[in-house]
Amino acid sequence: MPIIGMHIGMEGSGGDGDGVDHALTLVDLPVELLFLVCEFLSPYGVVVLSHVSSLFRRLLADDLLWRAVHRRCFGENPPQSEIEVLDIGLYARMWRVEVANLSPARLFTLKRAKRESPLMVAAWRAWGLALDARTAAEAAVSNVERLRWMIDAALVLWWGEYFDEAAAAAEAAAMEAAALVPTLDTDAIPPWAVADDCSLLDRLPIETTGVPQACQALGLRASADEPTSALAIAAAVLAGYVATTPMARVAHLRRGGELWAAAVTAPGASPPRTAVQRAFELLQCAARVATDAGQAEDALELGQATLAMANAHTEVLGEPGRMYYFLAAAMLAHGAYVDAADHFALYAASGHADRIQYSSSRFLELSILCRALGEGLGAACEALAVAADADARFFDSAAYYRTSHVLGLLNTADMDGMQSYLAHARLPPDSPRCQALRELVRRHMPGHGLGALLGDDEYEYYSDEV
Amino acid sequence: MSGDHDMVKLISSDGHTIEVPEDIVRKSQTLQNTLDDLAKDQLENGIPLANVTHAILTKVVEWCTHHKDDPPPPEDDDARTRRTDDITPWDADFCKVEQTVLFELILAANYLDIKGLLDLCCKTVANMIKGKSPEQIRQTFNIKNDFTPEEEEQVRKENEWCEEAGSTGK
Repeated sequence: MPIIGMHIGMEGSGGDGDGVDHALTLVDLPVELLFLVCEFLSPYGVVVLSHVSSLFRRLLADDLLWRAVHRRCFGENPPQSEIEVLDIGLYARMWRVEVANLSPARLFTLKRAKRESPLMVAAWRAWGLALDARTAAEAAVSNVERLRWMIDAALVLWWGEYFDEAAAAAEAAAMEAAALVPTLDTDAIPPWAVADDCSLLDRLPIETTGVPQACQALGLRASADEPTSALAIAAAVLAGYVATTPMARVAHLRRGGELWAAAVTAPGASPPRTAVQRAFELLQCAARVATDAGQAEDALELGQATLAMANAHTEVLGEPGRMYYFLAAAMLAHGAYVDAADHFALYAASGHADRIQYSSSRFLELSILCRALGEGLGAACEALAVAADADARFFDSAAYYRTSHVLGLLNTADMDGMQSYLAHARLPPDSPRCQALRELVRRHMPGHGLGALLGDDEYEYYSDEV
Repeated sequence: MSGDHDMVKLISSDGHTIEVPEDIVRKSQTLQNTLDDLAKDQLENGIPLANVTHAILTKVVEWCTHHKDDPPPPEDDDARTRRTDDITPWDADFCKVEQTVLFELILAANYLDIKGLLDLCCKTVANMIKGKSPEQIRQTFNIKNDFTPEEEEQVRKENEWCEEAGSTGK
């Protein structure tokens, strides 16, 4: 049963429509739903959240919540004698005592590791590495355990003082283990590299065997049915993850995608479907990172490579859909306006655009604005008329009205009208629509003084992203 | 119900009507109960959802459509299902929305009783909290630090533990 009922969804939110009266925030959620969020946090996370504001401090000093946290982490209720004193500090201290009991001299088992560490340990081989911040300094892994790990592992990553690197590498070589043993520069690893975004890990040609919540170590093992090149791919992709600059991330992700693309046709490779999907995803990810980082040339090149792959493997990847959008956005940023217009139109016609929130009309709008940049206002007006004739939904849409209005304002150089329109539209400065309008206004209304409406963060913007 | 017997009309709070296949609608326990309780002719004009706007309803339907073949979630979660690193790439993309929309989705999923979506959104929020300091959490969610000096002192003492705990590993 639902926990509580209340008005859901503010008028115009999340779109490009009218104003927002009140933006819902985390603290507006009902208490029961905040507790639900806390169920996905470690005890450490709950304690930190309780330090955010007095509201959270009051909410999280809740006996039932902490009993649940304790039960989830330790597999049992907290000691009866302790729970009469109810405050977060108590639970924090209890937690600390439990952790402090772990010591290098006590080789704890997986069962203990699972019980005593708030970790996501999925396979026993990983536990030695999958240690969080609190236990890392105290953990010790016996030689026996280490050897077993090295035999089975295809890729071992660690940092800190878990292993003697030279000894471990020598061991791996002596045993002809297929182990790669890179040591990471601890200072270079951004905290979000693993813990905050594990989504790409699912797509790696390796099995994630342990991901600690505090992002202190990561254990990975190659799947048995993957090609040996999986190691190189994994290394490239992981390097993309730990890279500290977008440029490096793009380069590594691209390398991973290209290695997979090569595996598509390589004899004896993994099933083409897998290779195609992974190559596509990595190249797409690289294109996205490049787009976000403003690397227009890389974004364009990667977008074209990804689209080519999508077009060549529609039987596996389906319709290119969203790729059209990313590529069009990259083309717009790169100044390839006619190509951008064509690709926004392709995206508008795709099933993907049709499924998303505001239908395909606003992408037709983007296409026509790009047409105006690439071929002039006359061509854009013609394109608008053709699109309206061909698509009744577009003709009925706000996007059609906006496009028609904007083209009219540009045609007549109506600066007051444009000022009024932009003040109402409040476009996100990085959105394709804002980029296109900025360039159109620059060309057709020189000396306009409208820059504040096309990039100043004074306004509350609405996302135009897919 | 519409003419097509397996389509159900849903009417959002802002007056938009969308037609959704019945099997998708039944992903919502709330709507399933409504469908089971009402006769077909009572559903002809659609089911009004006074608490869900069209924009959010569209997102909810998108999620339900993608997950229409998923098995029903277990009633009692064990610790394994409390993990947050098991979000699929599609779901992760789905949740890449403004915070306001994410919170509205949480409320909608709760109101419509769609456990999978509710868990997904809560996991996403939890992932936004994880690994951050209190100050970073305040910045992320635009929360004001309103502690009294006494509370601040207490928090500082607890923070000693947190900082100590957080500094041992790396």
